[in-house]
Amino acid sequence: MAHNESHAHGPSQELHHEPLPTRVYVGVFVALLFLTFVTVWIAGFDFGSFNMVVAMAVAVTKASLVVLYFMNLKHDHDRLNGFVFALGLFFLVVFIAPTMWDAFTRDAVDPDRARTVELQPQQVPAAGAPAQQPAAGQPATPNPQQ
Amino acid sequence: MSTTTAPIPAEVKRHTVGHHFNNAEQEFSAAKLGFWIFLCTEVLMFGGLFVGFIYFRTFLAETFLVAHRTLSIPIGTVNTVVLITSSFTMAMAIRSAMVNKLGQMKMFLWATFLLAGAFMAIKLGIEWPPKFEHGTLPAKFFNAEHAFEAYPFLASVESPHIFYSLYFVMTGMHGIHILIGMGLLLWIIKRAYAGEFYSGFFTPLEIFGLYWHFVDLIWIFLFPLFYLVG
Repeated sequence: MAHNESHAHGPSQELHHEPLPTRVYVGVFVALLFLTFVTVWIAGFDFGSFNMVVAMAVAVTKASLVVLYFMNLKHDHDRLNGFVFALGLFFLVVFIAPTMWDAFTRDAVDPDRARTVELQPQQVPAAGAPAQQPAAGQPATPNPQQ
Repeated sequence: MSTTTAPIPAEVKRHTVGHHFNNAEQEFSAAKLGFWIFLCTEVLMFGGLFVGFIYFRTFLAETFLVAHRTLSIPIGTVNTVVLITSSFTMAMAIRSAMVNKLGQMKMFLWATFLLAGAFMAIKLGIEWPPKFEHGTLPAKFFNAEHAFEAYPFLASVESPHIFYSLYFVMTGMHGIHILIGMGLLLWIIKRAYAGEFYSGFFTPLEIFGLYWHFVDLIWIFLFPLFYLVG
C-alpha cells in the first residue's frame, strides 16, 4: 500500500512531550499528604455547621492539585480537555444546587410537606429501642398529594 | 531528576499511528479528549450519589452525625494515604515512560497495583467484616439488634440504616472502580512488558492515569464526607 510510505517511522509517528520535572510530582504528593493530615486534625475541632465547609474546602484544594498536576490540566496542550471537564462540573452544579435549594428551604415553604419522605422502616424499632415516633404534629401517613 | 530524555531503548516496539489519524499528536489528543468526556459521565454518575447523600443528610443531620462515629478514622486515613500514594506512583510511571526509564516505569506500575490491592484488602479485610458482624448494613439488611448492642448511641437516632445504605453504595461503587482499575492495570503492565510504551508512545498509560487519578479524586470527597464530618 502506497499509503504506508507516509507511515514510515518519523517525527509524526511518535510523541515528543516534555514531562514535568519530578519535583512537581513529589511536591504535589507531599502537599496531598499534608492536606490529608490537616483535614483529619481539623475534624477534631467542632466548628458547628462550618465543619462541612472546612472539610470541603480542604477536599476541593486536594482535588484541584490532583486535577491540575497529576491529571495535567494545567499544562495540557489541549485546552479543550479542561473545558470539557469544567462543563461536566457545571452539569454537576446544575444537578446539586436545585436539590440543595429544595432540601434546605422546603421546611420554610411548607412545613407539612417537609417530611414527605417516610423515613422510618418498620423493622428497625423492633429491637430493644423504643419505637421512633413521627415528630409530634406530623402526620405519619404519606402525603396524599403528588 | 533531570528532564532530559534517555535514548529510546532498542527493545521497544516503535509506534506507528492508526491509519485513521494524521500523526501521533492527533491520535494522543483524540484519545485524551474521548476519555475526558467519559470522565464527565463518571462525574455525573457519582454526582447522583453525592446528591443522594446531601439530600438525606439534610433531613437526617443528627443520624449522619451519630452514625459516622461508627466508621474508623484511622482506617479511612490509612486508605487515603494508600490511594494518594498510588496516584503519585502512577504519575511517576507515566513520567518514567516519557523519559525512557522503562525499568523504573514497570516498578512504578507494580507499586500502583500493589497499593490498589492494599486499599481493597484494608477495606474488605479489615474495615467491612465488623460491619457485617454488627449488622450496620444498608436498608433492610440493617440489623438493629446487633447494631444497637455494638453502638448503643445508634438507638437514639432516626433511620441509621439510611446512612449505611449511602456508605456502602458510595464506597462500594468506588471500590468497584478500584477493582476495574486493577484489572486494567494488569493489562497495562502486560503491554509495558511487551515493550509498547516509551517516550514516543504512552497513550494507554496516560489514559489509565487519568482514570486512576479520577478514582483518587472521588475518594478525596468520600473520605471527609463519611469519616470526618458525617
